[in-house]
Amino acid sequence: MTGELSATMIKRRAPVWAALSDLFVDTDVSIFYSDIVQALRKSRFTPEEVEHILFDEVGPVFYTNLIAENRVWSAWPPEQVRDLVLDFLELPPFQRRAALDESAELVEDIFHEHWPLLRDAAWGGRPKRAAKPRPPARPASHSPSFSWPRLPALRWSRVLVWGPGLLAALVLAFGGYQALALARAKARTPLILQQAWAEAGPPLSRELPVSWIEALIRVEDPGFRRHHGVDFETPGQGMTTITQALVKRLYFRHFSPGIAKIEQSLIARFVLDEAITKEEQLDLFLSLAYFGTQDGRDVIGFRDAATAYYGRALGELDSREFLALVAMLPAPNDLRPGTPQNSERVTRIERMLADECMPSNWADVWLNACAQQ
Amino acid sequence: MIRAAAPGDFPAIRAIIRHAFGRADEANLVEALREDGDMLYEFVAQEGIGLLGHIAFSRLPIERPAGRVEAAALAPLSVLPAFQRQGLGLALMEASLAQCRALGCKAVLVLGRPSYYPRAGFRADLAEPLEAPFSGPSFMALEMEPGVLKAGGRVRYAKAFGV
Repeated sequence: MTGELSATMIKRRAPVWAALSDLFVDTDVSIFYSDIVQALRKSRFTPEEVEHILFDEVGPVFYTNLIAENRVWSAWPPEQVRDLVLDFLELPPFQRRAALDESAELVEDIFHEHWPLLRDAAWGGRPKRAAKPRPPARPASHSPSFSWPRLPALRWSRVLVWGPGLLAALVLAFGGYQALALARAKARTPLILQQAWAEAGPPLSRELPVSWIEALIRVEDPGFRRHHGVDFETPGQGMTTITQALVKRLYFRHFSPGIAKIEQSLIARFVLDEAITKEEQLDLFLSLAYFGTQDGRDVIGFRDAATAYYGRALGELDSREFLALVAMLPAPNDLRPGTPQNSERVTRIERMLADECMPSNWADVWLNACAQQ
Repeated sequence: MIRAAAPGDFPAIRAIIRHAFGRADEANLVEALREDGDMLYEFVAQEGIGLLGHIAFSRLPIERPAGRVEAAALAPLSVLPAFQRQGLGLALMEASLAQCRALGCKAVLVLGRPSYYPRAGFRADLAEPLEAPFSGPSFMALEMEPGVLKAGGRVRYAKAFGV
């Protein structure tokens, strides 16, 4: 790779490497924002080029600082950054690939956390091509980098000419972003699954009664055995299938609804559902589902949940206690076993399992159709 | 709750056996015993909506020159891994042994862990006089009628056992 990097290219990249490396310092890195933005602007790289530099050149070198025992908490000297990155780029491809895979998740988190702000600040969402001078020139009384371009007065002729093009560009850009996200998710999958299996322990579906498993599926994702990761038809699943829930646990550290939901669905459909079988998805879900936070600690998986909420092994629970854990899943911290909300939901679930009622539509996660009249 | 198995339980029973043994052989054996009409009866352990364990008794005549002794084979006995060591296996054995007695079985034979089945009264020395495809400490018997196995005889396992 360095073969492709001439001395001038290195000179142009080095300040960006130094700037981006600041994101991996173990401190509140927002103190570096203005320096980073300065460096990015000066570099005259496009946002896409900088993203590439972050993921493929800086991330795999510096991500270790955030998992290391002794973390660096003030910025690295620029020369050191340059040398470290160059050393990395000279590694044989397979070694680089390993570091890329290992760093992907962390770098992704960093990217999601800081990039939107940095990108807006550095490039301001301005169109790349020099547009015609905008009609009313605003006095530069505030930092122009944070402002959105002012829309000129609406003229229908313009809308007709530019509207469809703009829309198409938006769709393309969005599609491109999602395609990139998918490709990244795919590349990370082998490592993610390896870690997930290690964390999950022995497959739980082989230890529990079929009826418990079927009850879980019927409550959480009735179309589980038929769908391909996503399901917008079967009543009751509430837009989150077991596959999607797993994607959220495995691929996202910080999940916020919105764009991430679309990404989650795409990864569920095109990556995870194709990578492992339904039974494997089920086992990972049983072992890795989130069951709220108890005494400041995340409760993960049914085994852990049985201990945390009942102080007993999973095999020592009775069916109703198991269903009380199943009932927690949509909102674990609000639906703890023993609360009235939880027992109301268990009652509804039991009525549904006894075929006394059906969720009324796909959004009926709360089984309102099963409430006592 | 221990109760007799019903056809609606069969898929869950298959899963219990497979998961208890970690392979499908024993589940296939149970299905073959049913098909061949050699199954005497099956019991399941149920709690709430969940089936947790299963036991099967099949015909096992002991042939002697003087005539047949009606006996039964206990196989297989399965409890889901998460629910083992809670006495479910013993409860399943007690219920099905009582059933056997009520049906007029004279003896029950089992091939299994020598550390486990003696808890339900099985003993390897009782099986010694028999002419059978098995022997040793894992081959154990329980007499419903004391001394009934002393005279020996030839044990005829059902076809599904393949012995």
